[in-house]
Amino acid sequence: MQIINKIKSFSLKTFLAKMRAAILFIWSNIVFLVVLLVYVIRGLLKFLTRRKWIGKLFLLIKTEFLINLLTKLMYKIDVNKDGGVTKSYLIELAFRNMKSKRNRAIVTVGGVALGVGAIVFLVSIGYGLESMVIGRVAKLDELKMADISLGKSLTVKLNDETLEKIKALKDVTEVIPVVSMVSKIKFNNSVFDVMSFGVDERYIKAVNPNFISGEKFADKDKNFVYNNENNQNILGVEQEVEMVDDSMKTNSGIFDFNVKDDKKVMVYSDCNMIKSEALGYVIRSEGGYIGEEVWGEYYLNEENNVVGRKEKSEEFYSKWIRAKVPLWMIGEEGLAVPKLTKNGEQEWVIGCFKNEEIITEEGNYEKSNLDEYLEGDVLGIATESAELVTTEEATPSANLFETVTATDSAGIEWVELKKVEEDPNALKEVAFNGSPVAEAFVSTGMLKLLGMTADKAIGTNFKISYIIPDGNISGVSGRLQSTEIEYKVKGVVDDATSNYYYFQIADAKRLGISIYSQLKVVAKDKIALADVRKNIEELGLKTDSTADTVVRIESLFGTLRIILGFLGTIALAVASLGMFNTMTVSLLERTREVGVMKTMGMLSNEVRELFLAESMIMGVGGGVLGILFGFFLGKILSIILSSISLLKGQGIISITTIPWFFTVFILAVSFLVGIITGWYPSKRARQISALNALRYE
Amino acid sequence: MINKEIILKIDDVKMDFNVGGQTVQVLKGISMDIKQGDFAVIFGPSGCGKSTLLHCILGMEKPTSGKVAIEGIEIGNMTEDEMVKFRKTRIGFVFQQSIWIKSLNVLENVSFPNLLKGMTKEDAQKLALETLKEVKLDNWASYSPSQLSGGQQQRVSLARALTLDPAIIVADEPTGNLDTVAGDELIGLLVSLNKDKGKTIVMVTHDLEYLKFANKLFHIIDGELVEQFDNAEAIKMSGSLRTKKGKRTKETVCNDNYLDSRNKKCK
Repeated sequence: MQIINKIKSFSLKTFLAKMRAAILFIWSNIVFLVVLLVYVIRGLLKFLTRRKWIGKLFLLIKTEFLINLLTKLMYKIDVNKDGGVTKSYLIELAFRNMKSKRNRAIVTVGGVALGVGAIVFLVSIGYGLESMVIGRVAKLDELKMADISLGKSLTVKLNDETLEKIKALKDVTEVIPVVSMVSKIKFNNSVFDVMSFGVDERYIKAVNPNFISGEKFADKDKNFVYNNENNQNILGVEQEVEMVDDSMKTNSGIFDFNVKDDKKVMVYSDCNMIKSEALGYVIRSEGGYIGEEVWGEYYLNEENNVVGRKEKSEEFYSKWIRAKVPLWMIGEEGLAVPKLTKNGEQEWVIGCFKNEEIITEEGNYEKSNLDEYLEGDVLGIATESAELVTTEEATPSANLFETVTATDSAGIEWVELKKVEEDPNALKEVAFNGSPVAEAFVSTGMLKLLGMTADKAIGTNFKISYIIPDGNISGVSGRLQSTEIEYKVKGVVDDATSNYYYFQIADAKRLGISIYSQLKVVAKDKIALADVRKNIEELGLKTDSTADTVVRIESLFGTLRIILGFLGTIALAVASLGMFNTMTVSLLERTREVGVMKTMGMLSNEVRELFLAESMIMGVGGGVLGILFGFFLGKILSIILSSISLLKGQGIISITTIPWFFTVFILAVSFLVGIITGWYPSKRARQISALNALRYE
Repeated sequence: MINKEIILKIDDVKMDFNVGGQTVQVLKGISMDIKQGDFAVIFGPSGCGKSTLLHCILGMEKPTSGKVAIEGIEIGNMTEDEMVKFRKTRIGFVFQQSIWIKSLNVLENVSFPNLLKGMTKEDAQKLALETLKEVKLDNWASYSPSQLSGGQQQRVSLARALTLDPAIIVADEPTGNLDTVAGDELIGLLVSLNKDKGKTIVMVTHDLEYLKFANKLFHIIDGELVEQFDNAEAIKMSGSLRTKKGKRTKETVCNDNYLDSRNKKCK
């Protein structure tokens, strides 16, 4: 045991010692780099001051003072512990050695510069091509945006409420609604369809289209709020909030109700969509049901215009209906079939369902507790004896709904709304509520259709009528088309690739559109977008972003860069071998010199540092020159390609890009090359005995 | 003169070398004391162990047994780095052949030892120029050392040793590659350093001409200290050797021709 412990403690000690040495080595390298930087800057200043022409200029700005300051700074950083040689002197010695073997140093550094230049040039082409392709695909700002559209969940709608919900999510800076509609355009006796986008200023700012003529897009009619009192022919949503007491039950008591014709209402085991189980459907039955209204979990709805809120809290409730009902399933072709028990009878349950598609009628029930009525036989079972009396004939011109009144055997009068039998393909015309702005900002592509130039288009009028997608106007379905209206061209957007125009989103609102076609979400930044999208998708919505495409492009070019970088690395490897050779030869030449240095009192570590300094300077020098070399080579290539493309009438091509982090990376690599190639020669130099100085040749 | 401090104490130093499985004893127990201000000359035939002894004094080799102490500090037990640090503050040296850092000029080479001590470049060069003046070579400061004559180079070498103000200057055949004039000039400098500045000098030579300048003489043959003279005897000895030179007696042949120590006639 003792032995094992000893071994353990020993290995830990050596490990710590090694760690310490490694940290010290890294630290001394950092200090070395800093000193080298200061030394080189100082040297450059000195050099420039000595030149005749520039020198005078430099004297004006007190270079002397600057040099002195740098010298002081250098000595300050370069603290020599226990009387050792300073790093700055080692650097100077290294420079002097290289100077005395000038040709060799130039060839070696040039080799490294060529290798590094090859990497930089090739990889920068990779980066340049990538940014060119991405530039074609996406603008920079688009990478932090995503388009939201309806997903699989049909319970969520892209209305203002959802918009607010998304806006409240983390890292979301903006949620911008868009209404996109096809508009039928009549112009000069011709009719054609183009896409149109109802947007506001925020959208324009985010997408940043290039307005080449006319006005820029500015919000107009922004404060228009649609409410259904303004308009008779379309139902909107307005919700009033009432306070709910803790018992969470309404006082409306027990009543009779029935389900609207042709509707299937989901029955839940509890008055809570999320926590409860969906049991089946309830459909209309002659005679109706008996039930009570209950406050339950909040759900989005359009018919039930009452929302409950618990006092002093942000908890909202909706009205649910609780009742004992027979269950139905949806069979083939959407037909309702009874849900059967094991005995083959239709299943009855006490369940909850949303107060939607329901017709209620007050009943005369004395007891306030529903459960007492539910014991025993169920009341109000549909009977054959119910008699339907049609009070009014349905006409296409009438309301969307037809009123049907019926009295069942129990003498209860039912009122229901029945859908008008009509041609499903018939167009319903929707009128604007008030006067819309009616201004269009058209794309140059659309101008081609109109046969106009950008300058002449401004002020032109054309007639349009919007084709409103099904479901954009709440509560109304079918083919909807707006009344024809005259639009005026206010601005031109430079986009010849597609035909569309922008208009004020308020115009769409004036049509009663409260459900948007799309939402554009802007995240805080590029990185936050992924999380924002995830959160939105959890709401049951779908998101798309050009970032997806960009990610694919990036991964493709990432591979290309690796291949290009590898090719460059071969060149650098050859150059590294050359540098290794130079260092080794230099060491062999200077064996006696090292001996005499050691005799004079140079520590072996200092000797090693001297040789490492030399190789690091060559490495970094080669790196810097290589980056410049690669950069200029790339620029020359760009100039050549640009001049070719300009001759062909295309724009300027910048084929190379060097991101700053790549520059830093390359510098680090060249520094590392310096260390690695200098490692062995410097280790050998360290081992040279001082006695070499005394061995006479 | 009586209470002079012992600067270099060599106590029963033995040195064995292992050559081809055989142990060769190079130093066979040498003891000597060199005091502050001494001009000590170690002489003897080639291969007698002078150089090895010098290496021991410089701390470049460790004696198999025995002690070497400079200014009372035992250097035999030092690690290499400790020895290097000690050397750069206390020991100056001049070798038979000057070795330079080729990329540096004369002034920079002379200031090198002080830069190793961490001195700033300006201070080190100021000191170096002063010492170059002492050896009368300040006009050559900006030349490359290889452009100088052998004698000049040895004087620069001496300046390089002096610039760090060492306790002891070790010179290994400093005149070995020089003609008489240059050699005399260098020895003259050493003597004046010794006389005027009180520098302690340990010199190894085989040129008997210079024995007369020493105040202590150590004669080593085959790794053994055979004779030890003080100043007066040295002069006499040197003189007698010189006078006998022309007659080519067995003694003088052996004294002059130390190169052939294995010459049977000398034993």
